[in-house]
Amino acid sequence: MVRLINPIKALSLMHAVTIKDVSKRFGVIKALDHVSLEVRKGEILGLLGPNGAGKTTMMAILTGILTKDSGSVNVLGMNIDTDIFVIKARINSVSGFSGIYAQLTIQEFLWYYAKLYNADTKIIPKLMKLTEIEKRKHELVNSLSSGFKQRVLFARALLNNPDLLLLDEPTVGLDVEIALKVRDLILSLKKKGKTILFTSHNLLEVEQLCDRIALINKGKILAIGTIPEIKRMLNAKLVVEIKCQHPSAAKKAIGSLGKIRNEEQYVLVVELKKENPKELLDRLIDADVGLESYRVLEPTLEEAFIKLVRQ
Amino acid sequence: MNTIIAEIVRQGIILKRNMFRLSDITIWPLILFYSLTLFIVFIKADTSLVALVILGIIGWRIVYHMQIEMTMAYMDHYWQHTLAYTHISPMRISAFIIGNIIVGALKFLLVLIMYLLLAKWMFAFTVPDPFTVTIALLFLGISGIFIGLILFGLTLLYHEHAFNLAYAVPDLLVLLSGVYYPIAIFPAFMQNVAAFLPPFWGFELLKSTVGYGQANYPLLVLSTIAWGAVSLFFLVWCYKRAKKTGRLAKLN
Repeated sequence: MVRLINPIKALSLMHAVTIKDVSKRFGVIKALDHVSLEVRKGEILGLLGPNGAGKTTMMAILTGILTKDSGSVNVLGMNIDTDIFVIKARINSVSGFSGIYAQLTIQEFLWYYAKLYNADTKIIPKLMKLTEIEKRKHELVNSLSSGFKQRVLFARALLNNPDLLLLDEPTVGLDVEIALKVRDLILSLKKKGKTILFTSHNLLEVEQLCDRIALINKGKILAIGTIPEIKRMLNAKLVVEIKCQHPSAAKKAIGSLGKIRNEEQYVLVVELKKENPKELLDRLIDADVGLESYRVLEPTLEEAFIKLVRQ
Repeated sequence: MNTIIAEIVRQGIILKRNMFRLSDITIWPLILFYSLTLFIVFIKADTSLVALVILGIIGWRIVYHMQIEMTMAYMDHYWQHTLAYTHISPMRISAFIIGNIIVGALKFLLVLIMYLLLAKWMFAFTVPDPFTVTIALLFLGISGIFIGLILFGLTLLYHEHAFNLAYAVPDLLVLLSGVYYPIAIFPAFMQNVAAFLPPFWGFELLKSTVGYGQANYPLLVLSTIAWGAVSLFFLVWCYKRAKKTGRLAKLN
């Protein structure tokens, strides 16, 4: 017997978040302008954009602390307008800018929020162990370093065993070693099946962590896809780097196949007019240019990002 | 229920660790008590005037505690930069408010016990009509809650700017509600203004137990219901507005 699945229900099974045509204005400023976006279950989606792009506004709408002007938002298959308190119980967040209750100890701080989440307080020792904060659980939170505080915030974000985690620049202001630990923690959460929506200004971090990225600027989604897809989307022209003993012969061989973008003693950087790196390689070999290396240059995410924002 | 318990416990911990908060139920109420009672000792006031001042201090104190705790607790989150996160949690604002009303009531009870012991020791004071005084304090407490809801609503929108009002408003009410004197000393228009203030009829009932006020139960109940409706409506409006403008998330 064939069972038919309602397509809307099927989509909600696939997507942890579905944002459709959402707009939000603050006075004359369009913080979000007809934004549509899906976050698939179990993925880390990076939300990238310059300051004021609309990232925090989107996060605030998803957490129910800001109302949208128009459009629809579904989180974990529920409508944010009607089921916000059910949604809140199943999501959590960490922000690099969030404060911490200074006059409480780590244990008291986690107990307080466990109560707000209606969570079983027995989970607190396990989370303190996971985030390696249990040895200082009786210390006041204001005595901790920023890296340590961030680990406390991660422990807090896991109190309700959330299905969706919203991470708003969680490594901002952290030193390299702590940021690395936080990144490892994020990856371990993904392995546990958590869906993560992640914002960061650190593009390297985004490349390391995210399955897909969405580029946002001036309240609009500019592009969405995997990192190679985004790079391809923006770099129609392929660039190759040629290292050879006879650059002048190489230039002749390149001819109409490409345009020289950069030239140093024995190195040429060439922008190909068509996606034909093999054809150019054959020509260089035939021309006997003393080829030492030939490599196709991948654009960095940073280049792609800058290009998109400028466009 | 969990949010209510969490708020009470959190406030208890802060009270233990924060000298400023502890002063709110020790040093400041004592200064208020002594500054007024020593003055009436100095002017050799009769016992009914002494009772009027002591009841006035107690009445003012319940209004103060019941109105300030919710706003103070909210500002704690604001100052500690935990406000946005706390709103992200499934905490209901109503549970947060109820938790802090209970904290306010507990703090007032501690201050009340301290005042009654001091008044008994210094002036051989006994509560003149315990039933009526209890009713008056109950209504004054409720009016304090309603003032608190209005100030809380303003705090949702204007944060620290509105919070300053939480200290200023009770002082203004002391002046206009005739806590330590009959409002007959005011010009006629000010008497009319005073009659519309939330705690006015509560203070009148309290003062009536020592022969200085006019007990008017229907107006006491009606004005309480009216202020209750206004403050709840205003709070809901402020909450929706704060969510729309981004003040809840501190976005705009």
